[in-house]
Amino acid sequence: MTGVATRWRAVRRLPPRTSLALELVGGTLWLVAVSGMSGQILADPDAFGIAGIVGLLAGIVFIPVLIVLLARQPPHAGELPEVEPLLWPNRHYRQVLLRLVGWTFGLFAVGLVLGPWLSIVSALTVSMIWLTFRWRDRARTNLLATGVDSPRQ
Amino acid sequence: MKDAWVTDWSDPLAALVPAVAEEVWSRLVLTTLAYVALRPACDTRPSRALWTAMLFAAMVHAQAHSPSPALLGPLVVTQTVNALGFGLPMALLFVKKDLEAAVGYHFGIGAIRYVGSLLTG
Repeated sequence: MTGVATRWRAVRRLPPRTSLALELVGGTLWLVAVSGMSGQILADPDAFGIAGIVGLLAGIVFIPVLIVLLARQPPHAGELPEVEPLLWPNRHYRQVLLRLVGWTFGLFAVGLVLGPWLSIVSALTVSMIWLTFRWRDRARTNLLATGVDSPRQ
Repeated sequence: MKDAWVTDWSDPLAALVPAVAEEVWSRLVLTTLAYVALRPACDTRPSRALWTAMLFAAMVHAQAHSPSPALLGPLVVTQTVNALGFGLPMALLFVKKDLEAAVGYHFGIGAIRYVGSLLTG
């Protein structure tokens, strides 16, 4: 590795794995949910009528359909950039996940004492300083000026 | 859920503030950081790192919306449903489209809620 944290592989971008039928189902559910909810609000906001129930049910079913539709869109997981081990190298999946959860619990504990926003802002600040330090060799003029990295010449 | 402070037609635009702020810290930062941490540990199964990162950030986002600081207990069920129902579509939009799409979806949810409050008085 040359210090470059991510490597975009030259892979062929795969097409969406959705079908027209699934997209039609999603679109119809969205339309029914919006129409039902709107009708409920405009007709009688205080009494939950048939339009509201139909809209609510369509909205609940719409969410998993939306998730499936989005999950089948590119880029798929294998097309995302490979990442150089930056946090906790040579660790297994469960160890990394446990550490992530542990850090998050710690963050919430700090948030309970100091306030949630201070906790979040502090964590983000530490993360950004640390990432900047670790990837300091990538800080070239072009990146600092435009905020966009360019391939190493 | 009625928001009594919503009295003017422009008040629903306030949904833009949490939409941008929360998508930045939960999706742009947290999901990305979790993916960066998990991806090298999932060399042969990149989808595991991606889905774990998205679910992890969605769970944290749902917990941040919890009315109680309790991390465990019956609220976990509610938070999990919220994370799957609201957070996961936004995470997928962030990964599959871009941050703006996730912000737009988040804004839509908030704005619809506030418009409903405005119309119902």
